Amino acid sequence: MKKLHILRTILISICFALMLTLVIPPLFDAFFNKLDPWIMGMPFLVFYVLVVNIVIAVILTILWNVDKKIEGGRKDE
Amino acid sequence: MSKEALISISIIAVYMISVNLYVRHRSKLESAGDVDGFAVGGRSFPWYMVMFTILATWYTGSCFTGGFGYAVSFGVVALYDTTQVVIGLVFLYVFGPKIWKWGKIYNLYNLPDFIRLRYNDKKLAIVVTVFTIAIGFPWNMMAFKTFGILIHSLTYNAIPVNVGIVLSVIFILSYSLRGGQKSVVTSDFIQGLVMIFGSLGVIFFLANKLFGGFGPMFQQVAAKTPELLTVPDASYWSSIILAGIFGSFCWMEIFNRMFVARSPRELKISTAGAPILGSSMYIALLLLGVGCSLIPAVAADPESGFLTVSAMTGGPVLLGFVGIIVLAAEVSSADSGLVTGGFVIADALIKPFNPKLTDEQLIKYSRIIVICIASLSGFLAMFEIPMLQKIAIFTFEYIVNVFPIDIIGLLWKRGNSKAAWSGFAVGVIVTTLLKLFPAFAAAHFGSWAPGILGLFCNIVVYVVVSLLSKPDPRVNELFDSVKNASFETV
Repeated sequence: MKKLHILRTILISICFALMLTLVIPPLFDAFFNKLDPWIMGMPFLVFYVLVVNIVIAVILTILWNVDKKIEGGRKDE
Repeated sequence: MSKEALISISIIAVYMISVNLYVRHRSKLESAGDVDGFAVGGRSFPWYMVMFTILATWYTGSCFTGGFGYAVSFGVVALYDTTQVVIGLVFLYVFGPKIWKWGKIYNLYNLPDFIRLRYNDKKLAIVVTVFTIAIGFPWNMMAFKTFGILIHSLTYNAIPVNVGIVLSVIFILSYSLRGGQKSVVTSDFIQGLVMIFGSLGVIFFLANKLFGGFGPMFQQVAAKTPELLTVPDASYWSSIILAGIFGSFCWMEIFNRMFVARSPRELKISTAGAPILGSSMYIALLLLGVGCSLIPAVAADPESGFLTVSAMTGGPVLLGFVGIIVLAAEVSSADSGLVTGGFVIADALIKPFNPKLTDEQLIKYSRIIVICIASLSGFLAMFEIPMLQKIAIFTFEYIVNVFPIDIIGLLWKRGNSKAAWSGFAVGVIVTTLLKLFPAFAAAHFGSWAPGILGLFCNIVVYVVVSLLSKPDPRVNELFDSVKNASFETV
């Protein structure tokens, strides 16, 4: 159960960390706000924004499954 | 009217009439005084309907007009909108179930009810209600403007924009008055399905037809206007994302959405599923907009661009289908905004001064107010209004000042009425002053949006005043009741 709670915290933290890469201007400008390199036919910034959106969407799905297990564990207790 | 116009408008008319009849049939209230049904859909909807109503409310028709136009004119900076939505959904996943619990235990319908309960302050609830409705009013205007543009384009300019606006007011009122949020959520489910899956298909079709795919499209943009593929001002970009994230929870139609689910579990599933669908659609749409900046007809009128390229590529049939998509998106946001506004005004501003108001009378007043709001916003939409997305950003910069009152108040017991008032006042004043004196703002804060700076001051004042005040035992009891309540969560 404790491991699930830790996993939950990690997942939410990853979401917020990804958000921070887009909203801290020096960080954003230094690493993400650029054309090159082109990845999968997309300029880098477009690729990165797409990745952030997809990763967050996937994390939310995993998070729901983790929460389901946590609640299942609570009922058993 | 030309043959092409008749084809496209016929497709739309069949769709609108069918949806209207279905929604009216499925969403009758339990009784004339069924306030629960009118205000929160009876708190009875399963996760998939909640998901689509969240998506349909969050992604408005102006995504296809204003959002698309913004991408045409300013490039990838328009992606701020999809980013703030998906991050906002993370917040919704984390905080939404807590808000649902408060709503269920204390029978809350919307934000003013929460404020009255949490802060024990009727005046604060009234002021926030008036503020939120006033700030949100431009969204109703944008919705009807979008309808007008849509019908004008669909009829190949045969029907004037203003007539289109009138038709759309009549259409929305025809079903939303009947069942309130019950009608809205039922309609949103259908509109959401059409909007998401319909638009994904169309967007990829258009990208292939116009450019040979997204890859070649990016190459063409990079060759001609590479500046559209990066963000010119990172501070401004950051601040509009943050304004979008924090502001989302201050809109009453979003706050209300958290009460329509039948359990926190249903709310969580719907929130977990929403980003994959919503962000796929919206990112693809905005990127197509960036590519369409290369097309002169689109560059000349960016906000009609999506309709223009649809007509260019697929004639009246595709235009009619795209019209349905945009209509679906706009109807599903406009109806929830109108019904929420109507009920909230009746419940928060009329009922406190008339405590003997029956449930039946409350619903009657709500309906009258919905008609007034729709008519007024439709009328004002007939005038020339600035670029739609700029209005959207402006409204978010002010609405964020409600964030400490609702979300921090939800999470932190120490927040109190004094803190709420003082933080809110400081936040709104700072935002306004920085907007009135842009040279001063730019010199001291660069291109950070005034709304975010105002929110920062708001939060600081809220926290400081709270800490300097004594804790309220009544609030401790409220929090303990919510914490100890057991509802099925997953």
